[in-house]
Amino acid sequence: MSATASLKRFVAGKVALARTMREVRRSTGKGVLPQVREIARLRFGAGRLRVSDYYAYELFDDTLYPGHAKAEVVGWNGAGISGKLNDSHWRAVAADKFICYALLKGLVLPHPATYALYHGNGRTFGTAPTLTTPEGAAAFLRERMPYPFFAKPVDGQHGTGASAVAGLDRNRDVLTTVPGEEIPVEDYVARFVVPERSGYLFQEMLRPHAEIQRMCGNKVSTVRVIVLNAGGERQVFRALWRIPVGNNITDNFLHGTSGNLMAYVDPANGLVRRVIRGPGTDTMRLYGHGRRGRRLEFHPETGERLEGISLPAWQETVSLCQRAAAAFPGLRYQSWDVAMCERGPVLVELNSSGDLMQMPGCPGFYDSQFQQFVSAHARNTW
Amino acid sequence: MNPVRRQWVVKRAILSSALEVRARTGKSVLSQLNEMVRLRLGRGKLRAVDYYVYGVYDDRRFPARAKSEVLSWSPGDIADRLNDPEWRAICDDKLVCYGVLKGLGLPFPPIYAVFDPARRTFGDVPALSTFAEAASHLRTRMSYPFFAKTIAGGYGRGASSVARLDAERDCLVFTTGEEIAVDEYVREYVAPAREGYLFQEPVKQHSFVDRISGGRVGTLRLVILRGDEGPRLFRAIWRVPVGRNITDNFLHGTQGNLVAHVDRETGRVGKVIQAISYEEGADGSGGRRLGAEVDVHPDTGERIQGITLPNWDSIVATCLNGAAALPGLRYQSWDTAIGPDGPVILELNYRGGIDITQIPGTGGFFDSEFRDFWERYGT
Repeated sequence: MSATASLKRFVAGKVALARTMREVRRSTGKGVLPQVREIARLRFGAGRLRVSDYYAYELFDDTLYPGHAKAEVVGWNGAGISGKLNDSHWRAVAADKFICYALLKGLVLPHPATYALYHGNGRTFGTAPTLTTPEGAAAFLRERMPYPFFAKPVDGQHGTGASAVAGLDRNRDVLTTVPGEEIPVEDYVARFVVPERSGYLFQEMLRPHAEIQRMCGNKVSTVRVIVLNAGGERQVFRALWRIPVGNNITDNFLHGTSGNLMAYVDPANGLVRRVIRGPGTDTMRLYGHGRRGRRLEFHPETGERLEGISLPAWQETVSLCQRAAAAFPGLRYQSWDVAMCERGPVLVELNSSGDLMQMPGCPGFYDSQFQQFVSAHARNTW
Repeated sequence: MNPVRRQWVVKRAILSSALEVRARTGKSVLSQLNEMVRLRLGRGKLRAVDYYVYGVYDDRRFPARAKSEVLSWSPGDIADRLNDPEWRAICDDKLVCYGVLKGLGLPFPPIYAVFDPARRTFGDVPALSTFAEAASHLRTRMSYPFFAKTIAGGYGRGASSVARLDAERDCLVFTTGEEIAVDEYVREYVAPAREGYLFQEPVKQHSFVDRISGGRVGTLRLVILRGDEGPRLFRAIWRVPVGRNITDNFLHGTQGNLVAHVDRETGRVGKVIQAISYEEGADGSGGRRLGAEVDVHPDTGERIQGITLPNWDSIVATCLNGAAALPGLRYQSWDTAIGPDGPVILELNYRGGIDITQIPGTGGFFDSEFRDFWERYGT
């Protein structure tokens, strides 16, 4: 970026900040100076909150965050927490999807069935077919692949590079993706499969639980369950439900840029407390405000109520995560993605440095429970 | 042995070896010293003791270039350069390793129970977390016989091999015949394992191998190099316990166990060495640390050298298949027993030691094959 462009960007940011401060003063009555004072205090506090986070999480709102609650919202990321709590030698157990699935299979924990693996250097995964060339991958798609399937890169993150395929039209040699796009088999292999150097994994397409389907349509959504695992205890610390909308095939929230929904779930009972929708890639007029999403109560496509409902099979989900967490003692901070399916909860991924997923109007990460946990179990200085 | 005395023993052993080599080969002490200095400063960083242990002084076994292929590197020197440390738990933590093996459909001894004060689990096997639970399980639900070891330990430390429970006397009988009270067993073996203890089915060996070793379970160490083009077997060593040893660990030659070079193409056993410790050497010689060459098992009298190990192709193919699933580990050391139908995988090592793969007279580790691999992936 040129110096002029940087300067323009800087000035635009400051203008947006000034506009946001005025907007907040108008809507809440909180003056600019008290806002600045609060921002400075939070910036130098334990949460090291940035200015944009102050507006993104709506921390200026004293009704949403009374008293000490503001100081519990943090500007850290999951990698920082993982570095303090987790054993780095255990990272591949979560980060490499094949290792993770092998382990889940070995531990008899529910996970999506693997159909095949594409890997240019002949990586294997038990008895699943390994495809090593684009021609071999195309032939497999034409002759042996079960449909529908979901596929993703072996070490991918945030849903990048994922694909969902509903079926194959053998006569026309085209695949139909879940959003309904048609793509020739060879083009699909060249676009999705071959570019992934770490390998590409084809697996069972999960079917949503009937209750989820009624509320959200025929798309699988997952709950991110954060488990604090140490000292013989597995505390379900946070639960966040992510709901894909539109043509999105994954439910990743991506800090709001995916446009998907995210809901804060009470870990004790599975009750959906608050739902937000990410703003997508729209340019924000205000500085950070709204970037983490805005509240809504109903699903934007089905019109069904989301806020206030109870997630299906919640106790089963919690108990599954606790059972799974117990097998990974090297990871004290675990983020499980659990799909709510017709066959019950299914473990889709384990993240050792998952995003914290704080939401505006919901409890921050650094609450007393988390503080107690890190003071007892952090491996490195906090 | 205290460190000062140990140093003294080593120095005396080196001097004694130098004089012995001079007498036997005619190579003067100065020439030996000259060679040692050159090799110490070379790539292999060879220590004086290794110069004699591996017989590098012998110009017939080790022509000029071959001497520089022998390494004194620590296992970490290789593993830390070739392997991704984020994959280490798959090797170091035995339950993670067994979980992955199970998921990949690879054979290993079934787990009977797991003890961990932090209530760790392994699928649906019984998870014991207290002294009382462990003792009660041993008295009422455990399958006998069993083999048990620490979840995160190495070199066979803390392992136990139990034949049966004598319920009337409330004691366990080890496979060596010794007895121990159940509570004492839990106190001595199970509870001290800070990162947990696992109980598993004893390995059933192929009858041919069983006859040779007298029922003692030996394991193959297969060193596999996992390049981008796929894995390949680089070295094969067979370790066989002797006497009352319940594991086959060589521990740099201090257990009296046997270590044998195995031809990787055919499974034919080549040179076999028996370990002798510093203290046990007839003249205290460090130069005899790896011990003498033998051709029969010292307990059974059965011939070892020259035999062909059963199920060789299946063992190699299974381990290579497993190695292909682990691209983050370029240097893999698989320990597998020889079962009736193929391998029974016991461990995967992240930092497999290289001393046992450099049996005197069978070549150094840093040969042209390994050098190519090292230059490609180790820098």
